[in-house]
Amino acid sequence: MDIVIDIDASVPLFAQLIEQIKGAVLSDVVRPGDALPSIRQLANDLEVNNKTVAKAYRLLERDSVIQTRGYRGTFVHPDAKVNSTVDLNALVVTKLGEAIAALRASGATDSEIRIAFGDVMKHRGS
Amino acid sequence: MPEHLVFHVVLLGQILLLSLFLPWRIVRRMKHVLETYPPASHPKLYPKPFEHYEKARRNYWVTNLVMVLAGVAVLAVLMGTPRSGSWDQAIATWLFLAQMAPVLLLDLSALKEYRLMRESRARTQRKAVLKPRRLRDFVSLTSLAIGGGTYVAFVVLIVYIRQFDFPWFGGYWNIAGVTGLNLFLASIVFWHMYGKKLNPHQSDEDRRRQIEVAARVMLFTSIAATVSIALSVVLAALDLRSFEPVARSLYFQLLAAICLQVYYRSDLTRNFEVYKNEPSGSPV
Repeated sequence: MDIVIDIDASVPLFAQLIEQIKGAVLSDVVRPGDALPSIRQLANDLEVNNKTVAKAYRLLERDSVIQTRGYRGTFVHPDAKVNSTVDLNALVVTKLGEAIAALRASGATDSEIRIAFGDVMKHRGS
Repeated sequence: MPEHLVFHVVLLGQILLLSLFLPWRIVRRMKHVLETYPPASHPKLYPKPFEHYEKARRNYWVTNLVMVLAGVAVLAVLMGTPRSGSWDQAIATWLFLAQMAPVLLLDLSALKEYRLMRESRARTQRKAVLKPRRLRDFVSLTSLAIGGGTYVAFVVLIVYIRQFDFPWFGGYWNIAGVTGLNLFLASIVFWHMYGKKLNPHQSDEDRRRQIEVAARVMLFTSIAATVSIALSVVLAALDLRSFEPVARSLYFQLLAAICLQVYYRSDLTRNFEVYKNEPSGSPV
């Protein structure tokens, strides 16, 4: 299967990669246990930075769509098909939307929400 | 000296094969490509004006003819000069390097062409195959085992011969040299497999074929170089150094003939459709 990315698209390159790899899993083009190209190979073939592919692979691994087996390479996760249907981004947007709506209903301004969000993120990150 | 006579014949063979026959085949192939895939139907193949490629083909052929004349001149000097023959091996080696220079220049020119192709490409979409490339996809396990076995046999040979010390024997430096050469050849294969695609229009099938050819040629070069060095060491150990120039020249001829032949044959199946102008809005 071919991965096609558009460098001028508004969607970030790593997100395009994630989308297409998940698409390949869902359409059974790649099956659990199948090997995937290395980060270097994919990055050079697509003429993008290694870090872009590494980021896509890291997020796919977090979502249990792929798994890295040390020096042997990267493979499709046994539960990849089920996990490919879970869209964490959509979940984050939904939950955050609900929280913001609740805060607005309580009388908080957008500016206060933004500052509080930044503080919480900063605090969690440290 | 019969060794001198044999060397002269073999050197003449080296001149004719590497500077006349093989270049003639390459020039013929270039002519075929230029005539069969002209700029009108395959514009992407020519990032420079068409005359440039005609000129490059002529220059390549003339350079090789000059090499033939130079080689024959060297041979005439060798035949007319009484000598010990101690420099014959170096002469065969330097002549080989000079004979390979036009091919090297042709390759360097191709790299420039690819750069121009990349620069002139307006498309924003990029494509890759979601399949890993592994060495065993391109070279059989048997071939790899033969390559590895040759290297191990060479190491054993050097360790064995080391007990019979003789003048000009490099000892373990031979192993270091062959190891370095193998690492260099392996890095070329690695670069072909995982490096950036130089030709932006190259199809995936052509890319795989190119990697396969590179991997096979490098493996063959590794085996041939190891055998050649082993042969030199054995000839030296048996005090038969006078045959070394002949063996070296034959090795160069075999190496160049097989490598260029493999590249030539793979080029015959190259996909030239990718150099056509595609209709607007077509996929990558």
